[in-house]
Amino acid sequence: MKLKRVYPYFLVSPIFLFLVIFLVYPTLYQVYLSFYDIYLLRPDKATYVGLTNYFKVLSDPNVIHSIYLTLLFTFLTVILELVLGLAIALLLDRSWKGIGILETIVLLPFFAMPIVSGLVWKFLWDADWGIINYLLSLIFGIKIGTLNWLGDPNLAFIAIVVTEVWNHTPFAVLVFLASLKAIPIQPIESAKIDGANPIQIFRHITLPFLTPAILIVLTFRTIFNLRVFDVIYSLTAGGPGNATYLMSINIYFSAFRYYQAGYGGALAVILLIITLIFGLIYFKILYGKLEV
Amino acid sequence: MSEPKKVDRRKFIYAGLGAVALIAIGAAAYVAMNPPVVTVTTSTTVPTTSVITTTVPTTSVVTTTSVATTTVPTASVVTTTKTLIKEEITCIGHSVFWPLFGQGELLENFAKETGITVNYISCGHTDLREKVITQWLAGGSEYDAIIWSTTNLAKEYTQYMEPLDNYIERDKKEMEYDDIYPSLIKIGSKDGHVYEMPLRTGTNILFYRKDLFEQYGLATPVKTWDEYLEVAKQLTLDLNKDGTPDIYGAGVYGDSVYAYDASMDFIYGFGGHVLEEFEPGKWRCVLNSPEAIEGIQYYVDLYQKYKVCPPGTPQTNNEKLITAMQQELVATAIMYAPYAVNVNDPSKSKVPGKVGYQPRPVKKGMAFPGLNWASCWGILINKQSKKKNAAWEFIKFLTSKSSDMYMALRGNGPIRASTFNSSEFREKFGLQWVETFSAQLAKSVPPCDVAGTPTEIRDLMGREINAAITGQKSVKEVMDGLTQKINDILKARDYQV
Repeated sequence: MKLKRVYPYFLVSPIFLFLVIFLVYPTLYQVYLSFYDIYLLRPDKATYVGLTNYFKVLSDPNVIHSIYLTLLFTFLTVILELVLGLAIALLLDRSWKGIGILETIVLLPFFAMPIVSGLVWKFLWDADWGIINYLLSLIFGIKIGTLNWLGDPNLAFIAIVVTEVWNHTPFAVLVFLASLKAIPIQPIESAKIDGANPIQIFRHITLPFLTPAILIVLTFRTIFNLRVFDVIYSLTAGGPGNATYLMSINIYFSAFRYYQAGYGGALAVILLIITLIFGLIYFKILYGKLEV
Repeated sequence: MSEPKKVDRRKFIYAGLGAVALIAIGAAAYVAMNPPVVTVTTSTTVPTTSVITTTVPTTSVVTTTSVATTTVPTASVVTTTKTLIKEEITCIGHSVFWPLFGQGELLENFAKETGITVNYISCGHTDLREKVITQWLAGGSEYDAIIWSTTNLAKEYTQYMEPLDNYIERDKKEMEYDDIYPSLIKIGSKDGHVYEMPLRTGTNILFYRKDLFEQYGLATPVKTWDEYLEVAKQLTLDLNKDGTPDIYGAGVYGDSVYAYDASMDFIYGFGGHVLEEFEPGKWRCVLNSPEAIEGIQYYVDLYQKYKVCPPGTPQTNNEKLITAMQQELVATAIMYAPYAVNVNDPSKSKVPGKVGYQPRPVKKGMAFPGLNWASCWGILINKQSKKKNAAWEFIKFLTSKSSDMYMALRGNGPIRASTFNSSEFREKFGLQWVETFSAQLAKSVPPCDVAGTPTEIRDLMGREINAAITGQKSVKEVMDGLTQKINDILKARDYQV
């Protein structure tokens, strides 16, 4: 009897152990480090400084700027990915000939590694030789070099948003498409018989069915975009100046380029808290919806 | 429902034994294909009195250790047992070296000569630094030899580097050590020890289009920044009259990494400095000096005010500036001297043979050529390496006369006087380039005034000056902020009391 009670715990113990070693321990160690002033190249000189790193971080205008940029970036990309993803999924939810090929093409960017996407887009955005400026010159007559995509602070931010949206909208498409295919046909047919127009059908039948999918996309994309790193690093590395210096870049530079593990740790903990807040809100809404 | 498939215990054991047999046959075949060790004996004179014992492990399947002991008495002819052993080392370095190694040909030559195979890991400047330092911090021995910028020879890093003094002392004569520029050895040294053997040297010079200078009646050398601005304005050309220049007069680095390199040209070129040793061993940042501010203001104005630089300047790194010169986007470029080989590569460049060279301009009233920074790459042995002797053999090979010439002919900045003075080298690159290069190099110092300041300084300067170029911050704001932050870093890292 006792063995029977212990057996399930025994079965989950490998994954539990895995999570403790690779997730719980590093996270706790990160929090621990954030209370120390550690220059990794001279770890012997590490000193306990309490909350000093947090005060330093929160009083640094560059960090405040980073947090603002991160939240703005996340808001813009999540909204765009959600809207575009839904629109594309609705377009693809047809039984046209060749729709499978179109689906594959639409989903392709999702399979490109973000670091590769960043490097490829870096060429595309180039002010002097980029194909985007070339096409804009052909279509709208904008002179090449006028739009300095990665050199102008405002345009650089737009460039990283567009690149990220290009890379991860297919995720939203995939989730929405799966949900759309699962919607039963009967309510839609009944609505049609009752004389409902396509907008009414979408508003009153499709959208309620899609709510869990929307929440899933919101949750995942918000969490991932808050800590997006690779595409920004390869595209602008936080530049020009600090125009795209998101929290993830700031953490990376502090911890792995300047080797300030304590300061970088404090930054990481702050980002973790922000992510957790969003995650908890979404999960609460999501599970509330799912229970209904 | 189908019945679950039963596992036959006997079959399972047979399959296991079969797999073991296959592995054994594979291992035997590997041993058969790898011939045993070959030993060659050479004679050398080593004028030291130290006793050096070298342990050279082999990589054959059956683990054996061949020990070659070299006892070195006072200035006498001794017999050194040089063992050709099939060994494998890993070297990490900047991607610029791969073409200089003849796409690996030089490494193959080394393998033929010594039996040591080199796995070369090629990466960009910042990636290289991060990979190596992370490995050092983890206490790893993955890299045996490391090609390392002398800019990064900070005291924090030398603890992970093997001092080369004993190796040099032992093989000084064999490697014709005196032929290597002593100044380059000095750049790779710290606290009385040599940590890096030089491998590549260079400094920024002015590249210009001879044909355009001739066409527009412009004289060379362009000695002062005022003259340079006039030249840049005249050579910013709208050839098809569409309102946008097709050729820009000035090409400079500008991205958040290379803005640091370019800033040195303008800070030194206007008589400024980054750091000042106010007392022996104590440094402070002087980037807010009028000279440094004037230099950076001039740099920023070239792009923002006078618009004589291409629009993509804030993202311009070394590759982009080379391409700009190759593709006729810029008429002049302040660029790393060894890139002459890229600019003159007929397979990639539209201007081979049309490019002239001169030292970088200076502020009016200053001596020309003026002080500049030298950027050098050296090669070192990882202190944690288990194959230090093989790594040293590789270093000796790469810094040898023949390798220096081999790389120099592929565009490397030579480290040996004999290469610089050779007719072969001079013919290949032309007397003007060689003389410009050596004249500017003679006036060059390590970047940041002191070799090996903390890495943050370079990154910080690059990022902040890039912010000034893009107009996010004023030059004064940037230079004041940098001075404050750099002084804080120096203080925290014990560079300043």
